[in-house]
Amino acid sequence: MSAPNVLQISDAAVRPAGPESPLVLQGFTLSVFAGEIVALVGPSGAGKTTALRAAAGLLTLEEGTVRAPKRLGYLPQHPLTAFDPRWSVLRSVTEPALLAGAIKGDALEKAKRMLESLRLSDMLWERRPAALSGGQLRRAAIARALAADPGLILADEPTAGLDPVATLQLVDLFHQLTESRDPGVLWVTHDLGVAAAVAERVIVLEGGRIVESATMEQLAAQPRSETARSLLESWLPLDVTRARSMLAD
Amino acid sequence: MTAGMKLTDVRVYYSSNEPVLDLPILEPEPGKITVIAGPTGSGKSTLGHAVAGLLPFMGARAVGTIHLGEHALPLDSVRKWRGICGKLVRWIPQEPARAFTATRPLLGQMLEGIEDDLKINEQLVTLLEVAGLPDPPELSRSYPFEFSGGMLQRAALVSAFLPDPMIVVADEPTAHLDPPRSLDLARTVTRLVRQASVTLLWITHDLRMASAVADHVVFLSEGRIEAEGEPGLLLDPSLYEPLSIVYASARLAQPL
Repeated sequence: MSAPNVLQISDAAVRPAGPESPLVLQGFTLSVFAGEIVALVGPSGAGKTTALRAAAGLLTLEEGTVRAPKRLGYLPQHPLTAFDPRWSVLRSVTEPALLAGAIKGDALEKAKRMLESLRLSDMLWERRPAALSGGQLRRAAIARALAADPGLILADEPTAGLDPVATLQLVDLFHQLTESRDPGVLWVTHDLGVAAAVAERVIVLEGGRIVESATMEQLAAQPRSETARSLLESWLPLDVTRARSMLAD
Repeated sequence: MTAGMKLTDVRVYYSSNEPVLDLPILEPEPGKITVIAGPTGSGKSTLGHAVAGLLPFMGARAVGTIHLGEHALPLDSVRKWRGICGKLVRWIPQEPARAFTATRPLLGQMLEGIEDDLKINEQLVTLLEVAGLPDPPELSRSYPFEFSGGMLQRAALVSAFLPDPMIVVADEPTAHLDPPRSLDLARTVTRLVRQASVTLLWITHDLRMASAVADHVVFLSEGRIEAEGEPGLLLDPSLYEPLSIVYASARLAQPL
């Protein structure tokens, strides 16, 4: 691939809970190219969030290296945790650009444009994060993650709790974003439907190791790992007869 | 206990004069799973709160009546709901894992507020078995943090089926579970409903899950019933409009 890679994790091993604790990632190697969306899937406890935190430089590696751009956007699983509860939403969205060295007026302009492009009306800007609905808060967190033009976006289950319409809108938004600018995106999810809709490449994680890397078509047609098979087998289809027969199994 | 529930002329208001929920009549079939489906903001959770008698605590203004067996419960009365809420009607929040405190063993928390000890024992053993959970002696020694989120969710379900509710309301019970655990929970719920003959309202925007678990579907849109019937209606072309939840679900249902 000719695009530069914006994230390169090589042979990483992590013990997130301290030196005596178990390894949660091992032999973990992954790259994300500019303009590419990679989905990281796996069951609960596979190490998906740990992988994101390692990519963000939030964890000390026991082995291996992480190369990531200085400017990266991190979308935590619970959008409320992206905000200072005392600050207005606008102030929180302005902060990343300020930290990246922009002057105040520019950072503020940028934050407003970003909030507008995410369809958050100016009536909401001066509110504190707790006064926004779940969906509004999710979009505000995305505005904050994008506000400093990151070269890499790390998104932890960004569609959890969103309804299908909002999920699809978020997927479309990320497609527009990777087309118009060029960030790489590492997108954690356990929903294969979302992975299929958003990503070109799917990486399957289990027990802290990558067990498979493929396009969604390859994965659906011929899963090579037990983990991928189990995720596919428990993925309910949008079909009453087939879904019910899966439940009866 | 299988008994009927009927909602009549229910209207719920928050700040404006436009009702967020407007149901002339709704009568879920006893002993079955009725899925309340619809997009965010369609009034699904409000309906759950109404059925569970929780509206007065949510700052809502409500009119209408919920008939439960021989009880007629006006929505604007807190007093008449006493002894109903939490006994005849049980409500399970989205993240039951958060409902348990870490400092006390799980079993005691599951049985909290249940007086009828003798009756519980036999039923408890059966329900725990149906839900694939450890037996009571082990649960009385174990703390919530020793269990996975999926197991805690099943524990919350089992406690909702004790001692003998008429109605159980589950609000997006699989929203925070991965697909294997969601499927597992869905299987547990269907088995529990059959075992205990409870009327269950399953609130969700996940149409794939709705297709799998529903005996009957009520599709809400902007606080009103847009369609109601067999689960197949969720895939009805008349609901398939751009930006509709049916359309979006279909686009997100590619893998298999």
